[in-house]
Amino acid sequence: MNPTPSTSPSKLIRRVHLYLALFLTPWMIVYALSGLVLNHNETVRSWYGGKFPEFEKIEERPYTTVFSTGATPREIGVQVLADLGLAGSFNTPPNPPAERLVFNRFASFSAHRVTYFRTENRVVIEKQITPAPVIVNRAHFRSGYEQPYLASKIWAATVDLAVVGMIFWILSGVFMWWEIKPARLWGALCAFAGFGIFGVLLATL
Amino acid sequence: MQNWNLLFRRAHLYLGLLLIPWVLVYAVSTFVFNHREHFREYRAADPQWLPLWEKDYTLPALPAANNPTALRAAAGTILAAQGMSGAFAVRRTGQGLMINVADFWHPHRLAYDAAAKKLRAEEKRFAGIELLARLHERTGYGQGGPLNNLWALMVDVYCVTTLVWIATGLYLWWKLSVTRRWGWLALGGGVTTIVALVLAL
Repeated sequence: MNPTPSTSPSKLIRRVHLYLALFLTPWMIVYALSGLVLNHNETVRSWYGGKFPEFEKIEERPYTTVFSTGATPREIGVQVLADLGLAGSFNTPPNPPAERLVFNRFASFSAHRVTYFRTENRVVIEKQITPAPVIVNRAHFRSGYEQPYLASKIWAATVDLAVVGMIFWILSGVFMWWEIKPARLWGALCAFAGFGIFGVLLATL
Repeated sequence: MQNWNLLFRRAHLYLGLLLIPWVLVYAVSTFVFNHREHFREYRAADPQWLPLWEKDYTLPALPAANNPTALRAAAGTILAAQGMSGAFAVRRTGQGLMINVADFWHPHRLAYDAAAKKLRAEEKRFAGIELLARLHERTGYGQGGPLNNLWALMVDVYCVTTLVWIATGLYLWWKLSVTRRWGWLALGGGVTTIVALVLAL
């Protein structure tokens, strides 16, 4: 007995292909736009006078929280940013001097750089105006489960979903192509051309 | 209308088949980036750079760090003198230059020390996951050579094609009326999720 159309493997594959793509549409738009920005970096920078805006100091204030000697820069950063109302994913340069820690807090639409002078008990807060190309690039580069924040971990899970989606689109796309007999020849030529171009570039660049 | 439908279906399909290698590379490398803590052990072992040779060399004048055109010209002169070519990046390092020569399999770097009048060449130790990263991260025109420009063109094709897949995919979804309800749910779920995350991050 043939499976009914509503439960056939072919239909299931087509539906998963479609719904996965619809869910991931915003991520794919971000990656595509950011890819164009990165591929035309100098042109995009020229729209902003050759370089993107620098950090500007917006505040300097006393900061008297005391940390134990064993506290790591990341642990200190979590606390400092929380105390300043800037909690969220951040990075800190490797091997910083003990008396001067820098925390780069990259939110979606703004960037702050907080410099904590431990021996002087003060912090300097700088802010960078974030133009649209930087916003999409920041979303593009955001990945990983190492940040201790729920939103960052969910974002990382969506990145994994995008990876699964891309692999699934390839496999299901090849399956659907093979089901369409009139498309086999031209499809094979396209795939052959793609692998050929990629192979030549991989071997020579 | 039938012709548009067929055109969109075929464009969606053929572009997908053409770009399979790029989709695969971007997907696998993104997985590595997203789980970097598990892949650190697969990076090249130290020392990352293996010495190749060192020789006497004198560059007539060391360009200023803030003059990228002169820096590239000087690096191009050094590379040509060594019979090397390909895409490269250069930066001033104190009284010297560091030239990184891009190569998917075997990246090189040349360190020029103006004070000692020495030129040292090194090769990056190979690691598979770093090859993936290089494939993922290579972008941009302006390196000269048809193959460098072809890679940049393929990156553009990939990005534009992604937008074409979205546009044609939305069209094809809309033509399948039985999928609209679940489609709206999927699309709305995606938009809501990304908006919530972008605001929370």
